[in-house]
Amino acid sequence: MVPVPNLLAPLLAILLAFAPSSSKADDAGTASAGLSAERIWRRGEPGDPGSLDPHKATTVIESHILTELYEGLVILDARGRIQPGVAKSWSISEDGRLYRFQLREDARWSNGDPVTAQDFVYAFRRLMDPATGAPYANILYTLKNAEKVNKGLLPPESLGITAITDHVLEITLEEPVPYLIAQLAHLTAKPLHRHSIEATHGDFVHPGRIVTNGPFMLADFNPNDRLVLVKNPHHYDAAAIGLDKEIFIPLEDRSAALRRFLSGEIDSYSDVPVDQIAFVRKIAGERFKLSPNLGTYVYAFDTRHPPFDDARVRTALSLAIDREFLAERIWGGTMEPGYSFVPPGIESYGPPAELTFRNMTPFEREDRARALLAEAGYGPGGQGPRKVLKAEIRFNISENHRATAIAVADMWKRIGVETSLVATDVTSHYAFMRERPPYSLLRYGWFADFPDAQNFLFLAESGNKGLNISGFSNSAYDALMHDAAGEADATKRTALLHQAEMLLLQEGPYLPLMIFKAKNLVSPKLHGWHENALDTHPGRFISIDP
Amino acid sequence: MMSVILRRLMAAIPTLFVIAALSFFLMRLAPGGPFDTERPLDPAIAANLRRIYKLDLPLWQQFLLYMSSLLQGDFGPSLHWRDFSVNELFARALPVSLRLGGAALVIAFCLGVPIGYRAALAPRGFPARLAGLIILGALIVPPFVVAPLLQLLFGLDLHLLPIGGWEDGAFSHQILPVTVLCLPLLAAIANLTRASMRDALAEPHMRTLRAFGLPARVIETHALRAALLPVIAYLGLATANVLTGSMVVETIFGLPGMGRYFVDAALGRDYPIVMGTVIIVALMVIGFNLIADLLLAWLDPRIRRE
Repeated sequence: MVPVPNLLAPLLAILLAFAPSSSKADDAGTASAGLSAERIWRRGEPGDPGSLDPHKATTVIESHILTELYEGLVILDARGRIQPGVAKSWSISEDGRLYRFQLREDARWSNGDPVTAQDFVYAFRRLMDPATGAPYANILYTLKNAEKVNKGLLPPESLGITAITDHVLEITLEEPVPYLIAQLAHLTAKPLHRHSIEATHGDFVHPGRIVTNGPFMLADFNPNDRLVLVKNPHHYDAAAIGLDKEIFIPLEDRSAALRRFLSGEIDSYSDVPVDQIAFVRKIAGERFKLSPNLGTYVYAFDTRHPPFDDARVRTALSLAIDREFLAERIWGGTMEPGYSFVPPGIESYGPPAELTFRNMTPFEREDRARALLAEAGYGPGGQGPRKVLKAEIRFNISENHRATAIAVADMWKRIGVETSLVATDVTSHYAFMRERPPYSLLRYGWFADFPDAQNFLFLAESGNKGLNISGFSNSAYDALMHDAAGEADATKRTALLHQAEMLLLQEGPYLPLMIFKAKNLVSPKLHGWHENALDTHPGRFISIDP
Repeated sequence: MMSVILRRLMAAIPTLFVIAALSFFLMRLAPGGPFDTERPLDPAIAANLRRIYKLDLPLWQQFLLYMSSLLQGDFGPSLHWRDFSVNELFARALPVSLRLGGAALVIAFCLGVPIGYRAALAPRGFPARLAGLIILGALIVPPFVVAPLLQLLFGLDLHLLPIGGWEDGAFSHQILPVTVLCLPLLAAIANLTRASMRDALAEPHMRTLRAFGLPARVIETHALRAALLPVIAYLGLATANVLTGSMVVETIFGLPGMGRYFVDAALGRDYPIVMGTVIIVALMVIGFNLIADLLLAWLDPRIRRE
């Protein structure tokens, strides 16, 4: 009586039409692909790489992938320590301005060509060439003439890098900075295969076209789906590499990623849904790894305008914050309370300087904060000649940023400060940060590009127009940073940087709130995976149970 | 007939132009640009990048440049996936969304119409009440709730189906996303069919047919034909919607379809992708509305005469 059978027929036909592709998928790897002998690391990441051209990349995800594809003069090992890469040894001139690298003879590109000193010269010149438009070129402004080349004032040939022979490379510096070696592990400092780039007119980042020298090569990239790397048979250490394949899977939805991890569809994921942290701890147990990370979560004050040009006001606000509450209650213990500007864990720097009031009781701190505000002319309820201090916190929309700002506003209410909140989408927030009209406070996060205190402390240098969000300008601070930059003696340099951090904490242009922790889900099938402050996990040192 | 189709297609051209122009300029009103990321760029470097991507030109010049390459079928380069052009990205993503959306649509239609039909014939029976309940449920529980529940049940607890991933379109990887896409559509179609079937059966000419003593089955078939008209009108828009992908479903299941680009591109100010998605959706809406209108004309002699 009802035409159901007639309608079911096309339905069945459609279902059948989709069926044949299932056989093809099995070898691409589902949860059950462990049957094959291939050792594959399925690695979940919270997004896709924007570019695999090292000169166009900027994000952490890109850096994870480029570490596998390219090998620089030095590399980071599974514990985040610097190790020789293509350079097997190096020497430094007495004035600390000239580095001479001896390259390995057995380093090969994925097409079998030898990796030579000229490949580094080509890559570094391309990085600084304004025509390339490399967003991170300024990290290597430490090289002689680099800034002038990048701004088009000098030709790329004048850059401080020279190939003496095929296997001897010299780098000349602008200042004798001791962190050059650490910088050379950064994604901007990789060699490039000139011939394949010029032959494709720069459009070289495609499987089959891209020639790389790292332990892995690009086999497939389908945006929003997966990026497949396979072992590079020409790599000098290929015999010791424990993985055949690495598959990067972009998963923005943290909860869905957790479910895929729990079901075994992915072997690791570099984030967790923080709003479900209790559940994550319970269900993932030992597989959930929390470790200190070189990243800092701060509120920047606009120090260019009143009332936050007054250090007393800034310190008062800082005193009133319960950092333990933020880290434990709001962020579920996935953050560390932040009492320093430079995160702990930088070997060359040792333990960072700390806010002096760390050990004061909450009551002492509150009294001190009220007294400082009164000194600066502010008081609760606007009594007498005193005004009410008004603050406005700007942040990019996210549940945790919002909860943090609400908690901070509540803490400030106790010392009589009226706080309002402004939330914008992430790009608007960063655009605001760049244009920097007058504001009172804004959320700012910073992760190290390379493990050195300078990479944090330079955020408050008055000459750092792009990144000094607070507009902080202090000649004593600038002098300390300048002296540290020119200091060749490591101990003296560290002492100068410590002094600078101490001054920075006293002046408080940035209000340190928390230190980031790396949040990883790691399957026990993975071996050789170690927690480290840089949260770097090169596949070269990792193996996996089939 | 042909002249009607031609006239509609001609009218689509200025419509598309207005949509493209409006979205091009509206999009630029949003603060910030594609290079505003967590790490603020050195001002000189940022200026250089804007020059390389021609974002430093006056807006009207950028618009003319964009429209002239669009006329040649070129959506431009992506500003986030910088190793791909928008055409390359869409060429990979569109088939995925078409496949998922197409399957959901066909299943929703093939099940929704009979369910609505039966529910209208026996409105007080148990099946009709059950169907009503399911329809209500599917209409009010949003996909972002249904999808994780299905993942938990079929993936984590029962280990019957994969939780996510595309795996080149493996059948088992399509079952859950298609189900989630299908449910609200199915509910809407069943609901519409039930309501319009009830209306059609109450029409005076149905009473006349019954008075003539025609068998119930013939009467119901006549009523169904009339009852399908609103369903088809609804499907015109729904098809365009479901075939261009769902952001929620594709993100939760980790599928490489078009839906992933809608929100991310707008948030990241990836202007060429935003424009591309707007134009693709506009084309789909115009196209499927035209098809729906033609189908309606074919089913309904009154419309044909107009």
